[in-house]
Amino acid sequence: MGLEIHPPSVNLASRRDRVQLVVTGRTSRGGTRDLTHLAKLRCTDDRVASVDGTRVVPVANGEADLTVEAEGLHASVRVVVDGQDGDDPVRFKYEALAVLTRQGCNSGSCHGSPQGKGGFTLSLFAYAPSIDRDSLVRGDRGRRVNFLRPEDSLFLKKPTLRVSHVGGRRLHEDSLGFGILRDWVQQGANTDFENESRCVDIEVSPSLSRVLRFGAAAEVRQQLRVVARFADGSSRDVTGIVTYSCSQDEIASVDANGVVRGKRRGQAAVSVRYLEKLASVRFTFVRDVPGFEWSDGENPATDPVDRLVNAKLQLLRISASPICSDSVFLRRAHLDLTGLLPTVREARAFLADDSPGKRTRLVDRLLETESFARYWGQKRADLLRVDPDLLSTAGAELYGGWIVDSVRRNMPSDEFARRLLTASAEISTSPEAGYLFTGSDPATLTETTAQLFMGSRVNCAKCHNHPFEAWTQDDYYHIAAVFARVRRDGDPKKNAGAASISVAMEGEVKHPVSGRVMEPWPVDGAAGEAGKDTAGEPGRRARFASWLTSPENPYFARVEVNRVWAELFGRGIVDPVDDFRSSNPASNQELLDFLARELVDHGFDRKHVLRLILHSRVYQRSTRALSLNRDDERLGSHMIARLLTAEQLQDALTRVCTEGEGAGADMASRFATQRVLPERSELLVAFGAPARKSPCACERSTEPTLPQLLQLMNGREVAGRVRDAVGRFEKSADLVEELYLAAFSRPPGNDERERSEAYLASRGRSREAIQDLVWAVVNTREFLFQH
Amino acid sequence: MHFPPVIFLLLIAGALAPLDADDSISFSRQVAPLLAQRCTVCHGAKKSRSRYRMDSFARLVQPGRSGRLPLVAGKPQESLLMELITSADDDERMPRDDDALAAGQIATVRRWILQGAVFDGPSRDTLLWKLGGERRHPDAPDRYRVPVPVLAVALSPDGVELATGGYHEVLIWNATSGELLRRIGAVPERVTSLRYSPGGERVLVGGGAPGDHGQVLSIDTRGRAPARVIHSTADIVNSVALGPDGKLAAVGSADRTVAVLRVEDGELLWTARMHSEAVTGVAFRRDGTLLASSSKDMTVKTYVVATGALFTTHRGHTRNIGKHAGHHRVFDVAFDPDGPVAVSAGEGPHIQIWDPEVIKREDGTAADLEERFKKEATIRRIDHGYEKGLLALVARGGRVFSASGDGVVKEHELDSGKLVRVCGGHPDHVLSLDYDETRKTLVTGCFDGSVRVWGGGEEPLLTFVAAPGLRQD
Repeated sequence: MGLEIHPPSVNLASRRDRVQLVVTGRTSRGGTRDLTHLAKLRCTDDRVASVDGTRVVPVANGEADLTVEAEGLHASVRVVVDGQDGDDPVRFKYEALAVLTRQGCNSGSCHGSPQGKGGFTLSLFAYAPSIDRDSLVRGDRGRRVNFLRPEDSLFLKKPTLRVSHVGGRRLHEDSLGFGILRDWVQQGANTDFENESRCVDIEVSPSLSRVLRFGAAAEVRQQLRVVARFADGSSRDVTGIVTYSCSQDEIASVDANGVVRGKRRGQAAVSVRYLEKLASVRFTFVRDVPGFEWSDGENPATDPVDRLVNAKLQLLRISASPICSDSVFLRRAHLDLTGLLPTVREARAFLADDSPGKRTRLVDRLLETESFARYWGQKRADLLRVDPDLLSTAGAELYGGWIVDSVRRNMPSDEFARRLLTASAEISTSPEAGYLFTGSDPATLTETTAQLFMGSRVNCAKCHNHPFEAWTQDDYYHIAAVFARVRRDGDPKKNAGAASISVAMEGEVKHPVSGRVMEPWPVDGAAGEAGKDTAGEPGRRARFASWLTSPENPYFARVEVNRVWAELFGRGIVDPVDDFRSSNPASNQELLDFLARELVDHGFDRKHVLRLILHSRVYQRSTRALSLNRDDERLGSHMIARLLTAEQLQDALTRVCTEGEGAGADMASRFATQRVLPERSELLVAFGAPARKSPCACERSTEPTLPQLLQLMNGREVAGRVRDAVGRFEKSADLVEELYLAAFSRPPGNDERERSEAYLASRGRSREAIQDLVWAVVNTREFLFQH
Repeated sequence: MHFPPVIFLLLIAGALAPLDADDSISFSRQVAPLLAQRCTVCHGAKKSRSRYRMDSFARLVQPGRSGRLPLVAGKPQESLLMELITSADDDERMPRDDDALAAGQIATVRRWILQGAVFDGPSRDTLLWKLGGERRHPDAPDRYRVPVPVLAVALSPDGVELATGGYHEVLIWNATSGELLRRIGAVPERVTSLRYSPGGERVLVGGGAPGDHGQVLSIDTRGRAPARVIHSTADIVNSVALGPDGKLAAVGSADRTVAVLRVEDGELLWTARMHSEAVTGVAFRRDGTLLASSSKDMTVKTYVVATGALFTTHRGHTRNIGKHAGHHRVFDVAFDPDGPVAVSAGEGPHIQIWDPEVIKREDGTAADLEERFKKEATIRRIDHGYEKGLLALVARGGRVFSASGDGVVKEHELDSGKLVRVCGGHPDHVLSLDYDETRKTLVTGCFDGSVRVWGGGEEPLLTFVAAPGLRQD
C-alpha cells in the first residue's frame, strides 16, 4: 500500500490561504481509501507554515516540507509560502460574500428573503453584490461596520452572539470566515467587486464520481478539496469557504469542512457551491451483502443496456428480478407503445407463438404501427401545449397533427426541435409555428424551451441566480434575448391558419438589474452577423437551435433519451425528467450517457433508442420484487407496476367492454390514446390527464385519488361501458376466457375459471351476472395497473 | 433524624457557605446581562418559544408551556432552567442551535439559584437588559487609525464652535479654523445626534452601539462636568430633538421607540411603540405641541407632546397606485421653524412637505378612490434629483437643506421648491448637516470622516477630517 497526497505540492500565496490536503491510501490491488482523518501532518519548519487539522496555514514566506504519516506509511510534500508581507486585499465578492453565503446569512429564510430580516437585507446567495455592498457598508448609516474596531462590527457581533441574534450562532470568532470578514472591514470594506478577477470554474477532488466501500466500520468517509480558478490565471483553495450539500440525506452527509460520510449503500451527489459556480461529485457507497449472488441470464450480458444496468446493480449488491411472462410482456409492450391493450386475437396469437425472438419482433412491429405514432404524438402534444384554449381547436389540430406526423415519420429529434424553434410562417403552412404561439413573451418561451429541451427549470433565475444549479440571472436573460424578435401576427384563437410567426426588425431583452441589453444565447462572442435577426431569417433562434442540437450539447440528447426511458419505466434515469441538475443526479449516469451517445451517433433517431431499450432484458423484468431488490425503484432491478394513465384506462375499458374481435374502423374516434386532442371526460380528468397548460411532465397527475375510486365503482363512463359489455360477451363461446384475455392478456387460472363459472351459473348467466363479472374484473389491480 | 453532631454541623456549614458575602451573585449585574444576551431573542416579546419569556424577572419565574418551574430557589437540581442549560442532549440543551453557556456562566447561574434566586433590581418588571447598571464606555482612541463616518454635526448657538460625533467621544472644533478645541469622552461608540442647548453650555448627545444599546447623554461643552445619561434604549439612538424652549427632548431609536423626556433630570414623560421598524428622525413643531417621527417602516407619525397620543400618521411615502406609486423608507423629518409644515424624505425622488393638521383631517375620511387621489394635492413635493437617496435634512430660514448618498447637499426654497444651490464635492455619502440661520453657515459630515463648512457659496470655506491624530499620508 502507498500514500498519495493531493495536492502534490502546496503553494500559499495569501495570508488567508488554507490548503486542504487529501491523503489517500492505495492498495496494491488498486483499491483506495481516504486516510485524511487519520493522517498526522507536520511541517518541518513552523516558521514557514503550520497545520490546522488537515489544512496547511501560511506563517511567513519561505519553503519547507510537510510530512504525512498514516497507517504507518509516510510521504511528504513541498510547501512554498510567499506573498505574506505585501498588500493582500480581501476580495468582496469571492471572499467576504462567499463566507456570508456559506454561513447561511443570505439564504431565503434569512437576510436573503426579499424583505430581509430584522431590517437587514442581502441578495439571495449573493446574486447581486451591488445590493450587498449597499446594505453591508453604507446601509443604515454604516450601522453594520466598525472601521476602527472591525471585530465590533454589528454584522460580526450578531452571528457570534455578542449581541442577541434571532438567527442564532452562525460564526465562531476563531474561524477562517470570521477572520476574512474582519480583515475585510479592517482594510476599509472595499467593495470593488467589478474589478475582481472572475471565477471561471471550480474543481472538486475527487472529481466526477467516486465509489466508496464500507469496511467493517459503520461509516465510510471522503475528504473533499475544492479549488477555484480565476480569469487572471490564478487559482485558490476554497475548501473552507464554499457551501456543501448532499442530494440524499439518508445515504450520506457532508459537513462544512467538506468531509463526506456515507451512511448506507446507495448513491448520492454532493454539490459544492462557490457563489454562482456549482460542481458535484457522485458518490456510490457499496457494502457486501450476505447472501448476495448475481444471477440474471448470461453474465456478463451482451446487450449494452443490460450490461450498464447490471453493472450498477452488481456494484450496489442489488439482485435482478427474472423476466416476466409472455402475457405480461405483451400487455406491457402494447400499453407502452400504443397506449392500448392487445386485442384477444393478438393475445392468443402471441401466446401461441413459440418461436424464439417473438418479443423482439413484437416491439419492432408495434413501433411501426399508426397507434404508436398517435399515442407517442399525443405524449409530445401534452408537453408542447397543444391547447385548444390557446390556439383554437383548428389551430391545435394543425399543430398537433404536425407533431403526430413527426412521430409517424420518425423525424430526427434535432430536426424536430429546430423546426419548432425556428418556425417563421403561417400556422396553415407551418403548423409547428404553434410552438411560438404557446408563449407570449421571451420569458415564457425561455422557461418552456429550457424545460422541454434542456431539462432545466430556469424559472428561479428570472429573479436571482438559481439556488441549486449553475443557471445565473444573466443566463436567463441571454436565453430570453433569443426570443426577443419573435413577431406574432393574427390571433390563433380566431383564425388559427392565418396566424403567423415572423421576425421582428427590432426588439431586445434587458437585464432587470443592470438594464444592459442582453446578447442572445449562446454567449461565445461569435454571434456576429449570423446571430442577427433579419427579415425572414430568424438568426437568433437558428443560432440557438444549432447550439441546442449540436452533438456536444450537454442537455439535449440526454433529456431526449431520458424522456423515452421514463415513458417505458415510469421514472426517468434523471427524475423528474425536466429537472436536470448536478444536485439531482442520474440513477445511472453511464446508462444515460450511453443512450444519449447512441441517439447522437444514429442521427437523433429516437426509434433506435427505443429499440435498444425495448430489446433489453431490463425492460422485460417482472414487477415481482425480491428480498434483495425490494428497496430499489430507480435502477431497473425490477419493473415498477404503475396505474394506467387516464387515456389508457378509458381505452382499456372501451376495448374490454365494447370491442369484439376484429373491430377496428376509426381508431381515433374510439380511443382517447389515439386522439391528439382528447376530450376532457370525467374519467380522464379524474385520472389526471393533463390540461396542457404547462410544459411540465408533472402536469399529468399520477397520484391515486378518491374520485378515481368513485369513478371506477359508480362512474357514468365505467357503468355505461360495463353495461355494453354484455353485448360482447353473452354470445361468446368461452365467456370467461375471452374476458380474461381481453383484460389481462392471459387465460384464467383454474380457480379463477371455476369461481367465475360458478357465479355465472348461480345467477343463471343473466345479463346482470355478466355485468357483475366484468365490473369485478375491471376493478382488479391487475387490470388497473401496468405490470 | 439521627445525625452525628459533626455531620450536622457540616451540613449547616455547607448550606451557609454560598451565602458568604464575597461569593454572593447579583442577579442584576451578573445573571440578567447573560440571559438578556443569550436567551431573550427566542424567549422575549417578539418570539416567546414554548410560551416562555425571560425578558423581565417577573416573567422569568413564570413557567412556560411545560408547566414546570424554571427556578426553584435554593434548588438548582429542581430548576428547569438549570436542567436545560446543562443538558447533554443537543436537541434539548439551551440555548438551542448555539454553543452552550461557558462553564463559568453556568456556575454563576447555579450559585445564584443556590443562594435563593434573589432579585436585587428596582422592579421585577424591569426588562433584563436595563438591569445591568449604566454602561462604562471605553476611552476614545488617542489617535485614529482610520477616520469614522461623521454621523452628527452641530454648530454652537454663537456660531463659534462646531461639534462632531467621534468614536466614543464628541469633538469640539473651531468652526472657522477647523482647529480641534476639546475632546469629550465617556459617550457611546457612535454619536448620531448632537443638539446644543439654547445657551450653548450643554449638548444633548444621542448614540449607542448598533444592535446593542442606545443612550441620550447631556454633556458639558466645556468638559467641566461629567456626562450624564438621561435616557437608554435597546438599540442605538438615531435622532434627538430639543423642544422650542429647550426643556423637553425627544428620542427616536433603532429599537423602534419614540420617547419624550425632561432634559433637566431625564424624567421620562412617555414612550411610544408605534413604528414597526427603526425610527430614523424626530422633530418638534415650532409651538412644541406636536412631535413627528420618521421611520424605515415608510411612515411618519405625529404625536401630541403633552400626552404621547398619536396625532396622525403620514403615509405619503408609500403609494400603491397613482403618479407617485412606490414604497420608500423615510430617513429624516423636520418641522419648518417658521410655519406649520413638516418636511420628510428618504428613499424615493421627493422631499415631501405636509401639514399634520391637514393630513389628520383627511385621514379616514377619504371614502372613495377619487378622494384618495385628491389627497395627493395636500402634499407638496420637491424633486431632489438624487440617485442614491436622501439621508438627512434640516429646515431653517425658509430653506430645506438635504444631504444625500450622492455626496451632494442641496438647498431648496421651502415655499417654492426652487433649487438655490448645490454643495458637491463630498467623496462619499453625506450623513449629517446643520445650518446656522443667523450667520448663513452650513456644516456637513461625510461617511469618509470629512467635515465641510460652507458660507453662502458652492465651495466649502473649510474642509477637515474629524479624526484626531490621524496620520495623513
